[in-house]
Amino acid sequence: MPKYTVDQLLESRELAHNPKPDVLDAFHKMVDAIAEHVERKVKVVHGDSYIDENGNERAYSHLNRRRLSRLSNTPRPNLRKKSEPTVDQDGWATFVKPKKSFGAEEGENDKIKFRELLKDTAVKVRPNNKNLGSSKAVDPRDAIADKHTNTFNAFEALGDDDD
Amino acid sequence: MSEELTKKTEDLSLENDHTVLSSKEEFTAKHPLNTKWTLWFTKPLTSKNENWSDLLKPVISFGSVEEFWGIYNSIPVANQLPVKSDYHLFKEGIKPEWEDEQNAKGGRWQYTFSNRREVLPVINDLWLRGLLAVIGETIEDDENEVNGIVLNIRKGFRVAVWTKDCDLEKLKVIGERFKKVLKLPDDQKIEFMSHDTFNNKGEAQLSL
Repeated sequence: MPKYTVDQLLESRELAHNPKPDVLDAFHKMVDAIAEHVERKVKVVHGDSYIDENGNERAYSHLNRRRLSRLSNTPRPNLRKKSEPTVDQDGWATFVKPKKSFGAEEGENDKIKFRELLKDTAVKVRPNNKNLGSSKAVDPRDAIADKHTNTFNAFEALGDDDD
Repeated sequence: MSEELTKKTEDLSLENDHTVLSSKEEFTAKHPLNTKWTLWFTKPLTSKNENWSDLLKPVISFGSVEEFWGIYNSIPVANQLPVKSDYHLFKEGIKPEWEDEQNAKGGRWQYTFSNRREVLPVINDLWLRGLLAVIGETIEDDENEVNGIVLNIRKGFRVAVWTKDCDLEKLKVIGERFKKVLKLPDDQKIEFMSHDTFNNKGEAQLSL
């Protein structure tokens, strides 16, 4: 039986005969479909996915979140500062809560200055009752700034001497 | 009568190097290959419900040069295949798995083109040359060692020639020819590993 060199075989390319065009056509289409699927980089979680409103396949990844840390059996470290006992001249020990840095005495002047600075620029916002007690963010459209308005007071006008 | 017969038998001489492929005009008949071959395809995993046997499927078998070209011209070329897919071309009756008894004692010569961007324009040509060297059986002399050739599409492209045995003397000839087929320079090494070594993530037994 003859052996064919690479060059000989390359020269015979034009004599191609497709033995099963339908099989190869179906194979080509299948590979194209897979390539398209892979390109979209859809991660299929347990083979479960859905088609979103834009026609894209999406995985139910929101069902596959990480385990919550609060469900862990190991106790969480207590990061609160513990009050330390102070002993006075008479020997009495008292527990004094450590002051937070913001309210510390050395920062008192800065705090007053800061408040003075903001006095004129502060915008009062009426609380949005419907969202009180809710974790939802307040809708900024519902917040109304307390603007100064010139209104006519009829009672003041009656007592005015100018008339 | 006897003169006629002598003349005819002269034309049948095995030492005659002239084949029908030497002349385009004569190349009209079907040109059988020494062996029938089967093309297999491994599709990438798209669902966790699929297992290996669902992914690896035979595509088509052929036994002539014309059929090979008809098939090759109709299937996606190497650089059109999706990542994590494979082409396997194996002798008919041999499954492209190391568990197949024809492969079990063998191994593979392999080379990985790791720079995808660099090899993308030439991989189709190199893979085609690999296929032609295997079906034309010029990748070996008469050892009958080569069972098939595999192309793995990953981050890069890996091409491997699978052999029946691990006889290093016979393998050397195959390795040298394989390197030429892939047009590799001397400083690029191809490696041979038995399937057992490969599965145990061992070191290459031979490199060229």
